[in-house]
Amino acid sequence: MSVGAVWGLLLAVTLGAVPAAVVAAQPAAVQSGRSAAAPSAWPAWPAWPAWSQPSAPAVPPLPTIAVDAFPEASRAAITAAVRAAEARPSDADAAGALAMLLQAWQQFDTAALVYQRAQALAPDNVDWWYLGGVTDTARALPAAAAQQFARAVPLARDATSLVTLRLADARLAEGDDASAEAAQALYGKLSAQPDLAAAAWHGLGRLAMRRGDTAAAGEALQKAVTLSPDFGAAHYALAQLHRRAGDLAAASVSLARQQRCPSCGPWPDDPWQARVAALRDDAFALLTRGIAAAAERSTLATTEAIRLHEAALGRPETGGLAHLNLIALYGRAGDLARARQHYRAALDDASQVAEAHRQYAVVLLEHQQQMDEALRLFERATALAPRDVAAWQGRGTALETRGRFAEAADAYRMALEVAPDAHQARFGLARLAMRDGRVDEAIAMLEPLRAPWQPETPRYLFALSTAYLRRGRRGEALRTATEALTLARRLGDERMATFIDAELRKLEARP
Amino acid sequence: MTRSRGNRSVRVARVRLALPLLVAGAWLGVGLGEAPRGQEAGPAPWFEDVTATAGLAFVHRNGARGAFRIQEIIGAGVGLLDYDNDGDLDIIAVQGGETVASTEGVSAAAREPMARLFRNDLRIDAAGARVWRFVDVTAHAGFGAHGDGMGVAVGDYDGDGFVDVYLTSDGPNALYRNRGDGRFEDVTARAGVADPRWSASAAFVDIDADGDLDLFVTNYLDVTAASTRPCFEPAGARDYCPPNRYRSVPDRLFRNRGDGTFEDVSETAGILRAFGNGLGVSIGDYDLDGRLDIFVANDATPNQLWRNLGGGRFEDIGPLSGAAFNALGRPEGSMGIASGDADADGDEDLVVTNIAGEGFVLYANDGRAGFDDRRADIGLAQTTASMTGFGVGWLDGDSDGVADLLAVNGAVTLVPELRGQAVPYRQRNQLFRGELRRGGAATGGPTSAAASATSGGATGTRWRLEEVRGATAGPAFAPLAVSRGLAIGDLDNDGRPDAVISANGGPLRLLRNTAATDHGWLGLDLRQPGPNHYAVGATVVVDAGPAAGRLFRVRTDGSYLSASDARVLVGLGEHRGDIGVAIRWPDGSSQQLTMAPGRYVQVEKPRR
Repeated sequence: MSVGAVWGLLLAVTLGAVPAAVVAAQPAAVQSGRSAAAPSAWPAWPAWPAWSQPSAPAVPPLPTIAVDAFPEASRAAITAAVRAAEARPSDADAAGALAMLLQAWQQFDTAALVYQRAQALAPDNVDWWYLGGVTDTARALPAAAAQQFARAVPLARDATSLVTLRLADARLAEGDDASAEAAQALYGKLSAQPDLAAAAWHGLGRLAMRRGDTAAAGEALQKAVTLSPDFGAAHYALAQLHRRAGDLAAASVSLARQQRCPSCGPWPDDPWQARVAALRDDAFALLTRGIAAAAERSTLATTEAIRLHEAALGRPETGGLAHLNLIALYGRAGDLARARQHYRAALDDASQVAEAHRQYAVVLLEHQQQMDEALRLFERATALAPRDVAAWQGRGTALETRGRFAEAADAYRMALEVAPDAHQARFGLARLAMRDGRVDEAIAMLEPLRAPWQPETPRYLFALSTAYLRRGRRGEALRTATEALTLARRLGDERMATFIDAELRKLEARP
Repeated sequence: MTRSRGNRSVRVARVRLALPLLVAGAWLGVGLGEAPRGQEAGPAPWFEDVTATAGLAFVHRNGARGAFRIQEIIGAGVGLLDYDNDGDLDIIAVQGGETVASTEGVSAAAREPMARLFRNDLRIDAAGARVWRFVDVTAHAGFGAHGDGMGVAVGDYDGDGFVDVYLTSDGPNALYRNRGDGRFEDVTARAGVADPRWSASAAFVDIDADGDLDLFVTNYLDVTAASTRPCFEPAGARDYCPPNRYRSVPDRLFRNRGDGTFEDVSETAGILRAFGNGLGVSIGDYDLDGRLDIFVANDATPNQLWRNLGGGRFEDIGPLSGAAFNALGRPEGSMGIASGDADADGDEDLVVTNIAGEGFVLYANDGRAGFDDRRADIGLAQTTASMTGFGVGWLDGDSDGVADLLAVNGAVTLVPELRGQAVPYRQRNQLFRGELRRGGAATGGPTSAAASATSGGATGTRWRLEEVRGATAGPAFAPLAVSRGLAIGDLDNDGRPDAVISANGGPLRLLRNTAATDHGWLGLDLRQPGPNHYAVGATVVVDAGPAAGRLFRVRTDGSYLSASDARVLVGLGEHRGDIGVAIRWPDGSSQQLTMAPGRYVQVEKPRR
């Protein structure tokens, strides 16, 4: 991931919506890879599929790698690995180590060639087959990946199920009927494995959709989201299934659930990929892993994210960005003193002053601390970056908390001018209109928030119902509140549902 | 019957032959049943690069000076239009690279215009062969706008019978009205369409069905000085930033008031309610409700499908439709769009070009604007996995009646294999031959086991795209370039689609169709009274030959930053007899005609 991508993720971190990237597990002990007669809980792998009959391939030469063309950041490590592989031409581990390093630096095409050499030199080593498959998956070459995963399965010992999942995914991605049949069988076996069942049911659901078996697809995908309620891809597949069946309401609910966390899923730990990731300790890698950890939001993950970001400090390429992210991370951890410390450090980089102001202001706002200071920082952020929607929305909220409602409305309007889809700003304007008794204006503001459904929609609908009630349109108020309740339940937002339910009962009890 | 259009008189007839090439005072068209060329058997490349021999000299400047401004790697496009109404397609190429820094101290007169216009001086030699020749007429045309040009849209917005030009850039866009005398005048200010945002593709379309052409403009990113932090590729070299480094900006919809001015109706139309990093746009009636919808390809953000609700209102059904994401519900780095009825089931499918590692996607339409991601099933995923695709378009390269696909590619971040080279972003372009199977009978590509092992669409029709490489593709597909724009059209009116490809920081390339085939064809040039003179948005369905039942639309939009031939060109394969043609005009009225193949026919919409 380039630092540009890291910056993109930062925007989400800044807004509190931590990026939902898959979290790479920390380096863990990986079995040696040379498995032979070791016992396995996984049933014996059947005979080789015809298309991947094991053979003794000729050892391909090392590809020419123009090490001098690499930038300083990666040149020394890659040069050393190339030299080692050249010096020990029959050493599979040397070739494999080079391939892993190239994979770590995302030189996938070259890595794939070097893995082929390692596979030929040591055909019984699961590592090279598995990582070669992973590399070809990253290259969007599922057929090549599948062949390598198939070779890895019988060698994988305790990790057989993980490798089998990768194989099933690759065969599904191949797209032809024969591969789909193979994937069906593989997912079928995995569906009995508790840790991989959700992923397996998702695969089975997609296969059923592919062959037009709506009932089977619905059943499988429902199992997937029951086992893994935040499984974004499974919710998306369900949405498409409902859409095909013409049930657009159900499709919209599934889409809204997907939007809560599009990349969340029951992703298994992958010790091989963790080992590859651990080959890099440069600033970008640390930061990337830190952001991935931040996405998890647990206390443990936040601690790890802080550790990785701290490690990236002092590196000229990413130090400023690390400071920015640490403002949010320490804010999340409740350590406002440290957050402030990194805010001050972030100000040293002239290019990120506006973001630093906004980032720290968000932390203060979330903790309801030093609200005047938060407001002042939002004002500085919007002055420096007048198209920063989040800063305008934050400024509006801060002004609301200080009772400066007219100015808050102006800030929300500015946010909407920059980004007409800024829902928080629209909701804020509706809130202010309600407060001033401009009920029709509030209704006009809230009506467009009815669709498309998203995680916050029940809240918007409930606000709309209260507006209708204030306007004396009790029937519409009841209908809208009921709609909000139903949607909150369908979205799995139990807290909101309980609240709306209680309010709805009060409303119904009133004459 | 004649009526005046500008300074010309145009004959109006219910059905008549299109204006053929005027050569030495004689009309010279392709006769009925006459195969224009390529009678001889044996493999021959489908395309030949005739850029040099045709005198087409244009090199795009991207303004790259080591600062890695993202604008440098995005443009630019190319358009086809018959600006002088002489019956053949001319070429407009968008120029980039003009920045404040690069033009400091350079007088306005010395600065290069944002587009160059090349007149098609096609002629037929004594042996009857078509001789291609393009002449740079930019100076006379009068394109005066300067800036970092991006895209081009063409359309007769004022209904005077002459095609006008809209140029997008990373600053204010420009609308040039075709005066009909070979000159264009900048009417941007008066028309009110100078969107100051960084715009990419644009499309002229009569979106409100009031008879004139409106304008949809995609906008890409908000790149401010504050957001120009350096980015690096995975191995640590300085490189262009990905789009998520910047903020998205909303697209724009301009309604044509019919008096030479436009009204920005983006807000009232509802299209500000969702937006991403817009790059490509295509217009079609994806839910077959008779109203034109808008599909926008966004880079690294969800695509939008603006369903036309009527009354000037739109709703984004992209996520619900299935065309906003990949099969896992994740947005992709989408750039170009080819909209067309690939599987000949009567609705328009979408091919969207994506960034390397994703593969191009075919979204198969179920006729209700529900799309299924079939990239793997049809053979597109693996062959495009390593490509970063931009311009793309359907064409029938061998006139066999089955849709083929042309895609032009070029990376936006360093290609590791080209590390250390002067331009480490180059890739090759790709040609795909379509194979369509109805009830087990194949048309189009080879009947290999690989080709037949495909999954089918909902109608039982099976189709597949197979990349054409080697001798059949020809040397025209060998060079590496940072290709961006692609415009498809029949530049020599021989019934075979040709192509023009623009390259970032490289030369424009002209590919002449040289497919050796005696397949039949029919060309349709639709005209109608009123401002939408060229009937943009009309559809055509033929009733015979291998393309029977396939929906064709009159459009110039789609691809990437580019504008293609509006005429409908139908490959007829071995079919030799008359063809029944069903036309649905933009106002919803229908017309049925029978025509002889092997020529272009200009069809005038009957007056009611």
